[in-house]
Amino acid sequence: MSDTQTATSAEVHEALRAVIDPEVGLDIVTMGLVYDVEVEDGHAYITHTLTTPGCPLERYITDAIRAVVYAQPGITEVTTRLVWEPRWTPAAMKEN
Amino acid sequence: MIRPAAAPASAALPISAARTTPFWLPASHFTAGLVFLSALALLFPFIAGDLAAGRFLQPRVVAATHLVTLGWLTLSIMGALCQLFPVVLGTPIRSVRLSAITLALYAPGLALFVTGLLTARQTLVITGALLFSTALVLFLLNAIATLWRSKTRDLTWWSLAAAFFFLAATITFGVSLAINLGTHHLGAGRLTALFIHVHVALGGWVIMTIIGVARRLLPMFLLSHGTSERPLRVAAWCVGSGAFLLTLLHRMMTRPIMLLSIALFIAGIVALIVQIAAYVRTRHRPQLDAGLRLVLAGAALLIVAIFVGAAAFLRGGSPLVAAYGTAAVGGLLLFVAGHYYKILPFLLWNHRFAPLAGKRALPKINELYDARIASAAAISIILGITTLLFGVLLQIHTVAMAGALLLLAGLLTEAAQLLQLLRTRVT
Repeated sequence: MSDTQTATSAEVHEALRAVIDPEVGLDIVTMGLVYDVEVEDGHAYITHTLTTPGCPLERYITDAIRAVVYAQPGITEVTTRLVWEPRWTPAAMKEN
Repeated sequence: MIRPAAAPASAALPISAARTTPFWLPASHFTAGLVFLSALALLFPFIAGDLAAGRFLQPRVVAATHLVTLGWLTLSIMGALCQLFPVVLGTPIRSVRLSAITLALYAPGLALFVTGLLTARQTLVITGALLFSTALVLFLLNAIATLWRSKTRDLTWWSLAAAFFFLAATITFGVSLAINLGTHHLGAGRLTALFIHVHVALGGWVIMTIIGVARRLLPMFLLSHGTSERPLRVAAWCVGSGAFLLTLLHRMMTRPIMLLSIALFIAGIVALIVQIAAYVRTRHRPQLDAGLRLVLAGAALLIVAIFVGAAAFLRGGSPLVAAYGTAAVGGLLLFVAGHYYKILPFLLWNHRFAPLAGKRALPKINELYDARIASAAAISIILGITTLLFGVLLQIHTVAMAGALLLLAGLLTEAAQLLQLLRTRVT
């Protein structure tokens, strides 16, 4: 697939709005859980956090991110990284 | 930017995949808890008159009390901790198999114990008590081993460590009281021993656990992360010290020591309520659902219990003691009943729907149950316990009975709704 058909970082970031936190009912972008998205040669790198360390939704959120990002045009590989710094607070939600 | 290193397929599994608790373990605890809650609901109309008359030592009132404390509060805590250990301590329960064995001894044991009390069959009471006491010891071994493995040493860890110590003390005092039924070795100190047993159980075990777990759960449910935890630390110190005084000095209990421990309990509960109020005030979820309303009503009832309890201690009298017990145990009952509406749907969603991530549209957690039925149940429960309390305080049997019937309706509705929820399958 050529570069012109590959989703951009911004498009992937926007696509992540499809991942909904089932408890809060908001998407992970609006909640400020997505810290960084980069796409390079069809490889998407997603850096994200969760509201609480040890959150039982960890697996679901990661799986959903991977599923949504793989569905974007030209994305052939997805790498997610769960980080705890900076720590999430509801203030991140306001900013979004 | 922070670029994560490309990981092999196997490493792409999130950390929690390796440390999750099997769904059936907490689910079976919660199912048993809801069955005991239903039995308690059915018992309320039969004990309303006893409570209004201040007869709180009647065997059926004792049976109802153990249904609340052991069948509802303790069993719910045991089930919730199975699920919450990874969240609050960063490590799963030490042995899933031992947890299952514990429940297999505990639930039938408690059922036998309560049946024995209701039918005046001492063999059943003793057999049941032996079974559930053994189960509690197994639970403690498992829980302490889990604490031992945890690397965190925060307020939650210390609160749970204290709670487990006080559960062990509660069992010891309970066994002593049970033996006293045959030997009368406690003599005139029987009521003091009962006072210590009840307060170490409710304060040291249940409230200390609530303090430890609520600091993680309430901010998560209310989105009030970052709220100062100073009141909660005060609560932990005060409640822990009050329960420790009662436990340590139980053989030389005097009225000043009891007064000091009561003052510490009151200070701790007030601090806990201040903390809960702070979480509510700084929340980012404006709407409070049925579960959170029940939690807040439970907290409010604990404040009422403080005033009624102080009056009972200073003025004495069976009606005030019965009213105090109704308010204190009722407050904790509501607090846990509220958490069921938060924990169970979450647990079920995570088990049944989360694996479908990216494959189909998924419901939100609050769409798994009918919010109107939950609200109706919550209103009925809150009105029920309030009316029952008034009936007991005023010593009016009909008012107490009206409260018991409202409680019956509300608790059965909640139990039925949540048991139905646990049967939800993905279509």
